[in-house]
Amino acid sequence: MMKKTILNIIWLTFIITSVNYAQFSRTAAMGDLSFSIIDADTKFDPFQLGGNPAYLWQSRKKPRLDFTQFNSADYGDYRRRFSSERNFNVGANVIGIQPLGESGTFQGRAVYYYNKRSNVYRTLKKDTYAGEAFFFTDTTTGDVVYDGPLFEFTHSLPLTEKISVGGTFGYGLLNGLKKVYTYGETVFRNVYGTFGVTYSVNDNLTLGADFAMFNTQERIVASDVNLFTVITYHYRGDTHRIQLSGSKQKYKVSKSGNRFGGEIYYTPSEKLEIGINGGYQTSSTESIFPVEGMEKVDGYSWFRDASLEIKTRYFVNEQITLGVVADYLNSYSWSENRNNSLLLWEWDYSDIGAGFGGSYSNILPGLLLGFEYKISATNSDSSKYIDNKFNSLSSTNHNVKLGGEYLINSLYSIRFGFVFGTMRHDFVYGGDNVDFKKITGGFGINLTDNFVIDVYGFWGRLGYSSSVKRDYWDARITFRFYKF
Amino acid sequence: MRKLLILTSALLFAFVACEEDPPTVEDGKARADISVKLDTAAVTDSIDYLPNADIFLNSEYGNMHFVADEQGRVTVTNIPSAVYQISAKGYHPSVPSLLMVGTIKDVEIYSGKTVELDITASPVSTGDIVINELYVAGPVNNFYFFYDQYIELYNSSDSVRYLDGIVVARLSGNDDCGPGCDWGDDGDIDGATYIFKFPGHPGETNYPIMPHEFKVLAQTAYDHTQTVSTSIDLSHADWEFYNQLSASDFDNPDVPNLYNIRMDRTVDFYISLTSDVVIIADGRDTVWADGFDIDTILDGVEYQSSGTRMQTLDDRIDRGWVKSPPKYSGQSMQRKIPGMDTNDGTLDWTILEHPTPGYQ
Repeated sequence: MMKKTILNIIWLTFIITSVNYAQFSRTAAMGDLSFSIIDADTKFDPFQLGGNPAYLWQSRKKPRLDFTQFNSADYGDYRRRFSSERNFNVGANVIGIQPLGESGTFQGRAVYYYNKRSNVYRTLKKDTYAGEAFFFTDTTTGDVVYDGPLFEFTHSLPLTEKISVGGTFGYGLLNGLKKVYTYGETVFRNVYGTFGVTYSVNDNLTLGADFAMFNTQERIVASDVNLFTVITYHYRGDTHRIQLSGSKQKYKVSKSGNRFGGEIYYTPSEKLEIGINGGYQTSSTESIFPVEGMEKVDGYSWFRDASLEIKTRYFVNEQITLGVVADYLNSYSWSENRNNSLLLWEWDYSDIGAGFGGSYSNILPGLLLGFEYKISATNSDSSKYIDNKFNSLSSTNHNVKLGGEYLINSLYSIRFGFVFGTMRHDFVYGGDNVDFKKITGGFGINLTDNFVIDVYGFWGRLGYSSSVKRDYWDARITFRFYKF
Repeated sequence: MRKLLILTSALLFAFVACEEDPPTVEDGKARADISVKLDTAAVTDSIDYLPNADIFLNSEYGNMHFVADEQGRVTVTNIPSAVYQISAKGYHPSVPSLLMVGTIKDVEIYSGKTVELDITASPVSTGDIVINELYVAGPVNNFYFFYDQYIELYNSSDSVRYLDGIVVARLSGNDDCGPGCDWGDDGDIDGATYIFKFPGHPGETNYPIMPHEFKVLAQTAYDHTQTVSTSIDLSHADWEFYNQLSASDFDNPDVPNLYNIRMDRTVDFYISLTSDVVIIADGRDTVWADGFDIDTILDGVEYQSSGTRMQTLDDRIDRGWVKSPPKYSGQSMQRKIPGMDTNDGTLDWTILEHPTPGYQ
């Protein structure tokens, strides 16, 4: 249940902050250090922390063109009922940033994404656990493939000395196919836009506000290539389902929502950087079936997410950086049977966390080491009325990150890291006393002042015993040009 | 400061305006108190309830099964809100051979309400010989093979009955009001497209069907597993449909035939894989062209793949229809209990994962 919450959050994060995607290869290779290290891609400014496009021109002063090829997978028995046994992702990401002088800065991005899900049990929805009380399934287990492009454009423009505006527009399209009965075909369309404004009160303080809208539509058509009758099931809740049969079954999921965001970026001195980012988002999902030729909303889900994060970084001296972070997230949702306005499921999830960390460079010449620790408390209440299932869960989570970078010479650097976390309860997959470990690594090659190669990878494991686990790996290479 | 206040107020208003309240009624809180009473007109007895009755709740969510207590009562809680068709069945406490069945249709059971229901169970009226199973979907295959269709008959009486002269018909015609409908309200049902007949004449006693015996009428009495591994062996069927006017219809010499009596039809007794009407009549009405007289019909079944289609079979034959399995699924339709005939196919029938020719 809460799994969906998290996935919903991930989805939102993807949509809202996708401008930063694939630029974290350096810090990612250093155990995902994020607030205790000096890095061009982990600033606390409104663009990097809050995704406010208005601040792009101040956040990215240099032109840049990144080509990233990425591969990742996860697999194992620690999964949910309708999860795939294995996920494999491969793709390419191109992102270009071009300062345009008085015309601001432009950023363009294109991604091609291929995702193969092996042994998916019955579900035909792309995002099965997205927080709604509705599943759409057939009767078979099989492989499902999704692939398609995403395009995104951001432009940031200074209107006056103090005021800047910016906008982001993104459009993505995925095609999906399940290659066994019921031969479910999916067209997944994702469109989103953000408008932002920032106001620089003075040289040390910037305020930002942004408004984002997004809409996704997933159309599923299941029709057997042999013209057999197709049987599908529409679930309301976990157990009660309606059997649908016919030569062709259609289903549509339509999600839309908007988000208000606000940012404060404060640098009272050269030694201190403070970023505050808050967001309030509402969205809804419609579960739609054709009835007598007309599309009819059968199920409806509503979501509300509120978040606040505060990040502070203090540069003690040239060697030492300290960081403190605190964040809060609350998500609430309900789902109803639209036919007779009955409440099916209601859940509430909150997470509050705090952490600190530090990094030290030149312990040895060229060596940077850092660590971060975060503790968080998560609570959730779920009332699945239609299934007569009610639960209230809480969890305390610990997360430790260790990472480092060693500059071998002006040309080569290697990076390494280790992440370890424990959760009293895993709200994604449902296990208790779950731990997570992750080993990261990578290297950078500064071939010239204008051309850099970054290589990054990790291996991770999530689970609560040696037999019930899920493994993850990721490998990517980025070719970065500072002139193009 | 004023601008800040205005901005803050506007944002707060925007947030609040986006809020949506959940519905006030929670699903899954419906409750039904069901009592199964006996129709005392059937058997005079001091007991007026049906103990340990099986109770079936059928709705858009499918079937749910409950068992009543010794007093014929059951309380069903935490079920999803829906319109239910409820049936109860069990054997009479004093006459164990007497199957008692009761139904209530279109009961709205919604959250927050307790519905009290009394179901009166009456003895199941049988037409002696009934259609007990219809296997029409074809086996699992991808080359449109469906020649292993069969109809299973059952003698639900305690006496020997005879098949002499009985006709088996498929009703898929009748443009006026649909297959099995009494067009013109003249006491017969119309739309017969195939009519095959057992040898002999009504009243003769050459082809018995023993009490509680099944008879399998195969479209083609052949071991179909030789053709499709997922099919069934009908080489030992009791009867075979054989169209003597067809040059290609397979005839198993070891299996007696039902013959085609509609001379303009030259193919085997094919039935639709998903939607059709099948009847058996005692054969006294020999003029099929104007429809089968209703009082000669022993049993009839209408099956459909979709609930959105209107039922066309006359209510006097059956008040309900059977949800058919998908074509080429290898699944079959069968009465829940051999011979159980409440005159409502929706309640009497169920889908089997595999056909059961000659047995339940």
